[in-house]
Amino acid sequence: MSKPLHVFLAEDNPGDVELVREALREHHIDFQLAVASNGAEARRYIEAMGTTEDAPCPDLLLLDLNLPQTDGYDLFAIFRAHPLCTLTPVIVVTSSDAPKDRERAAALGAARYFRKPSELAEYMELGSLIREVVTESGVLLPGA
Amino acid sequence: MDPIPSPERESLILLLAPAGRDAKLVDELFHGARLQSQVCLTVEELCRDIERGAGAVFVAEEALDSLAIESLAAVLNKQGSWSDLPVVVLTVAGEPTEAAQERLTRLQSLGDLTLLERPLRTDTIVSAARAALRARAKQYQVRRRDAELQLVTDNVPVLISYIDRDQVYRRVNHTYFEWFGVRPEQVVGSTIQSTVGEPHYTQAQPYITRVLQGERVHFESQLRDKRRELRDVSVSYAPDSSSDGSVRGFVALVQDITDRKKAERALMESERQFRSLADTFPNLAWMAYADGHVFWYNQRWYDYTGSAPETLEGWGWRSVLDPEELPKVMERWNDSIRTGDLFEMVFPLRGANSMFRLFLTRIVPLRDSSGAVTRWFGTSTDIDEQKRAEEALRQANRDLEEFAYVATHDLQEPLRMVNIYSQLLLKRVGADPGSQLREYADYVRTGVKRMETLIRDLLDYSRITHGVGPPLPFRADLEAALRQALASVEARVRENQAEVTSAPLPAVAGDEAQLAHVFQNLLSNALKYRKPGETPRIHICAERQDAHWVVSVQDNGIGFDQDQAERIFGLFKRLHRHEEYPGTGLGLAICKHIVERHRGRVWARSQAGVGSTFFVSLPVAPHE
Repeated sequence: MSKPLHVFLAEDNPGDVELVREALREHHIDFQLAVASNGAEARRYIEAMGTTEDAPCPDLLLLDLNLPQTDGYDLFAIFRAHPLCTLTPVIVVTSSDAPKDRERAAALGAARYFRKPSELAEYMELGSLIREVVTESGVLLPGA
Repeated sequence: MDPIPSPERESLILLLAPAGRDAKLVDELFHGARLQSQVCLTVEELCRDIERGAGAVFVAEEALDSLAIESLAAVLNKQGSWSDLPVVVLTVAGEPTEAAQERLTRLQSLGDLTLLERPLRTDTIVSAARAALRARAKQYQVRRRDAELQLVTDNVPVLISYIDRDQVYRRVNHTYFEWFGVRPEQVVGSTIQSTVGEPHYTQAQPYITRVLQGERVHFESQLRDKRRELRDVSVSYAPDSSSDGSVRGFVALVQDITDRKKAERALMESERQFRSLADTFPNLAWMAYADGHVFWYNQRWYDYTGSAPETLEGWGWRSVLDPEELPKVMERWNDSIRTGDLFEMVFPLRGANSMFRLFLTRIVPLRDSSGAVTRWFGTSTDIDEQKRAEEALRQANRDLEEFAYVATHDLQEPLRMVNIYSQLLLKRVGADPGSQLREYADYVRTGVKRMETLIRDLLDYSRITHGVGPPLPFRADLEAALRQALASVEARVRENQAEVTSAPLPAVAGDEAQLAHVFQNLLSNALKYRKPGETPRIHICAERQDAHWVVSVQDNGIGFDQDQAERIFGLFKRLHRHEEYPGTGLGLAICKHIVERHRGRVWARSQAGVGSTFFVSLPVAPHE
């Protein structure tokens, strides 16, 4: 029995947190989700990563660019700078469709850019995206 | 001036010995000595021949009665100043009578007289003839030189004269006749004063005094010619000094410089006009020599900087620059001076109140015909206000973008939640298709969709009507704008199986992207309001009307009553229920704003059940 997929989600909207869970469930991914709902929480989590059991090093970061109290790109860089997460895939999950956001995310090395859709079925596709990315990164996907 | 005779006559000896064989004998004697001679039979004939030119005259004393002497005296008196015709008289042997002595005395007073007493030795008479001809040849030589000099001076468009110390003309050239209409011989012997007129003479007098003291002088003056026209003249006097320093007279050269003076006055006038103009315009202006030395500033410059001309002359302008900016400015300015390239730079200048204001400085090189820079002309335009306005405009644009972001993100986010969770709710409760629960959820979704479209259109509308966009570009290619619009409605054209045709479209003055937006709105409408069961046909074309192009988009759709044609361009104005034809009522309002921003006009002609044509008139692109 493999261990569950550790997902770190930086997202301030509880509605979106629930939709992410739904998408993972929809795609039968066994997961363990850590959520930070603002910049400060996210930074604390990243600092503690790998040092306590409450903050395991994630297999994947789902990052909303518009978090309160922080700049999403800064958070991205801080996460990437962590010695244990230099290769951990990051999916940007955002409501922005601005080209400059897509460009910056790509420049920072985001694995995917997921624009939050307003249709449920489209949102559920996030699950298959996660599966793709995780497979590419070489993590043995549990629960499949 | 008496004419110059032919060379043969210069050495011709005239003989007059009416009695006996003397004439014939002497004539033969001269021929034997290769001298040219001619026998005259009477005194009258002799006098006529003298006037035609002669080298010498040999005359027998017995031919000279008192009447003959008077005739001869009259002819000899008429000789020019250069001429002294040698006259040889062959006298009767022995002591002359008293009467003969008196006649000879009378003859002697007339010139070069030689007496030879008969009987004569042949060598005596021949040598006397040769001596006379040699003297005469020298006179003719002087005469020819004088004629050459006259010819030269007559053909120079300058007054040339020799004036003696009594201020009387001794010699003048032909130009005097051209200027004053008096013949040189009338001028010679008259005074300067009576010839050139009082005003010029008064001016010339001090210079005449100086030249008569041996000084070379030059001055400019004015005199009136025969047409009473004033001529500007440049006058030079050169003294004719003897070796002892006394002055016999002077040469006067008077040159017409009216045209030059006129050009100088015109130049001065244009310079004066330029400076007074430059003093009135609001820019700071100045001029520099090719090496950058500033020699002139306009009044505005002194007013603005509060500096005195002497502190700014040359390179003094550096004192009103910010010391921090100065090195950069100097580097660029020295570059321009070296290369002759136009200088353009924005930097602050200190005003009289010690405050700096931002100026745009442009310095243009003025070149001569060979392309070398002769001067620099600089202007500095106060752009302080403009810069502030630009900054305000940028801020307004940033604010608008901020608002746009808030509108898309913060207004649409809650809608997304409403929509997606209504779907999740249905999924959870497992509602059947067709159930009332499904129906309610559909209402929620439709409401959300409408709200999303409305937010997006309002955002477009606010962007356009805020009017804080950049200035319109000069040229928009309508072909390109239409292509852009067609690309964005391509899917709907296909879905509706519509036929879209267009004639060649021109370029107009304006923004291509905004005009593409207009096309897109008009095409969307044409597709949306298609007649059911009929192939939608849309045709786009343009027609020139004076300074405008009128572009039309024609369809065969459902049309509308013409009395609604104005109303449809109003904000939120719709002719149909949302359920029939969805829309926000903003599309045509946006079109109207875009077109009006282009200083154009938009209107429609339609007939219900037949179709509509929308017209857009736009100014032609510059230089078309």
